[in-house]
Amino acid sequence: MILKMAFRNIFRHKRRTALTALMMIGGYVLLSFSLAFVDGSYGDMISLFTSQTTGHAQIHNDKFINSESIHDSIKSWDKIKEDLKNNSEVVSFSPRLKNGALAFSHKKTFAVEMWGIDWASEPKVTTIKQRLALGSWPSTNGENQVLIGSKISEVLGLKVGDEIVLISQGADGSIANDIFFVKGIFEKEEQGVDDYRVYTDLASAQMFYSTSHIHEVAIKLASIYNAKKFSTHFKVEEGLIIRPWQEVEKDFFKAMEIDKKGNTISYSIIMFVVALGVLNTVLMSILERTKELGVLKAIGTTPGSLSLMIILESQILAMMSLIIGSIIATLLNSYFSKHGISFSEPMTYGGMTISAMYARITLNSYLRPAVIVLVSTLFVSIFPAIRAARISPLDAMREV
Amino acid sequence: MSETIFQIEGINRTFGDDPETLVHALADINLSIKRGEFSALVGPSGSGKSTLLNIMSGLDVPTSGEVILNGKHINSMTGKELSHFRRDHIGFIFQSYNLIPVLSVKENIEYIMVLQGKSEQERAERVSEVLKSVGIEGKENRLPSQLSGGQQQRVAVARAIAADPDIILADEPTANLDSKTGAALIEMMQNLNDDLGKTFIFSTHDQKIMDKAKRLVTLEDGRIQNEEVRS
Ligand SMILES: Nc1ncnc2c1ncn2[C@@H]1O[C@H](COP(=O)(O)OP(=O)(O)OP(=O)(O)O)[C@@H](O)[C@H]1O
Ligand SMILES: [Mg+2]
Repeated sequence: MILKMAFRNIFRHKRRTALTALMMIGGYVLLSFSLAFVDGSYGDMISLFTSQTTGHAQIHNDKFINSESIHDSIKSWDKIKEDLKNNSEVVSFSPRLKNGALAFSHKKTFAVEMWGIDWASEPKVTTIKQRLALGSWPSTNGENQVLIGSKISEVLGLKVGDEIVLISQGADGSIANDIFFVKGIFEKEEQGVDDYRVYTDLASAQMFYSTSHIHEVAIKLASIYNAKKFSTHFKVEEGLIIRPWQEVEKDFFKAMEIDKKGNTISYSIIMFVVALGVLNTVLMSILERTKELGVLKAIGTTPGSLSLMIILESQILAMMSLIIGSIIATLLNSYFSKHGISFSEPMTYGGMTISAMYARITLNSYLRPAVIVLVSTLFVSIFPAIRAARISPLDAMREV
Repeated sequence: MSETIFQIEGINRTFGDDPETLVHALADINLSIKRGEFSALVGPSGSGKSTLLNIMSGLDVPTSGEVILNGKHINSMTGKELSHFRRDHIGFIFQSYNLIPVLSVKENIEYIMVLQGKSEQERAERVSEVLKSVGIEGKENRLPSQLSGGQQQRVAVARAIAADPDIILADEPTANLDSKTGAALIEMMQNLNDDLGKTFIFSTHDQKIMDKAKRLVTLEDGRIQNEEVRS
């Protein structure tokens, strides 16, 4: 009966109810829409970022993370390779040998990062091949072929076909030095990831550094959203560590999280406005019904039931608004997940270029705004509900 | 003959704190009401009729004195206990009908029974029973706004008697009705009293209406001036 009355009370003032519902719907759609965009554009940024070099997860010798020493290497690559191959989550993976070296050419020296990679598997994990601007992607191993970053080519004045001498220290303590041949140069970009890198094949790099080990395995998964779960479930042997991109690229991840938090302020303002509107409606609705509430109380309705009725009224209205709101939000979000909003000028973020934002329909972009609307409606209806419960029937009925 | 259901002992009710402007609305009221009585509370305006009825129903609290219904002291009840007390023992008829506008005639009448948790079947039977006894049949599904004042007040009487309370309190139930309709309403209440043994106590200014009462309690300046029992 209380529910029935609450339901009917909602429709007593059609225009006011419609206006309140419109505010709730507007608030919900706005929240859902912007969350879908945040999820969408951050999702795009993350996949763009991780596809440059990082991949979705990485395996290291756990000491290598701090030391970056040639000795803190992965010795059991063959076994890891088998495990990765047999895992259905894994789309592709790439082994890497990483160390520093001094590049020497035309009587100039330049400190570089030397990466031994697998010519065939590396492009399956990252977008490295697309970044090559000059020359060609090598396919043979053990012939000291290298691809170099644009900065190195600039400073050392190197062109495709030139020779470059690399000097470093081998794993056995010996001096490593050899002549390498420039097969390709990466595109010039502001703070490009390849700027200071020299890529060669794994065999050449292992020969150069007198080692048979590697230092890093980059893994691409079927879905980037499973990176954390995958990293906790995939077993690596003692001394090795597997980490999802969120940990490998901690700074990037944190920056994005802070960015996301910044948005909370604008959501709070939207909700505050909606909540004020709802509070106003609920208060008005009990003030004009004081006498009626007094009668209900006089004939035996408990204060608790009166409160419940007031709270139900606003919650029912909120739920109806959410249903309409989620239909509108779905239409909007699915349109913008296909078409996106393109920027008049592409924006760069951490070395990535983004030219359009797309919405992404996630459960989060529906559930969170729904919970926010329901909870804030509940919150603002508590005070009027208590007021209704405390009405004195005598005072209420005296006002005619 | 019949048992006492309401016992009012030494009731005082004052309004205001300032001794100079203090109003003694009720002073030393002793009154007992027996089951099946049909009593009228009369007296000039401001004599304390409404105050007395409000105290009897637990809507107002006396400054001193005891209100006892069926042996229970209502002065010491909590808010929720009072709600249940009114729901189960008191029927109200208000001056201005005060039906719930969003509920149909039927729902208004069964409201208290719903609060009491009566079954749907029991409620339906009771609703058609009381609608018959107040003479409004076939209007179950109308809203109060679709009825005349006299009809609304009949529904209000039906609501008051539906849950079979011990006593029905009515503060000037006819004040908003023309004299003919008012007389008819009182006649109907009288029939309910005669046929079903319902206990009524109502206040009124109307000479014609007080003539119908079997017991007449006259108040003046918050005191019982005169009590008269007729047959
Ligand atoms: N809430 C209140 N505050 C102060 N004084 C009050 C209050 N309620 C009633 N009174 C006073 O108590 C006295 C009795 O009032 P009451 O309403 O009981 O009279 P009544 O017999 O019902 O009068 P009427 O016939 O006009 O309805 C009056 O003097 C009135 O002014
Ligand atoms: Mg009065």
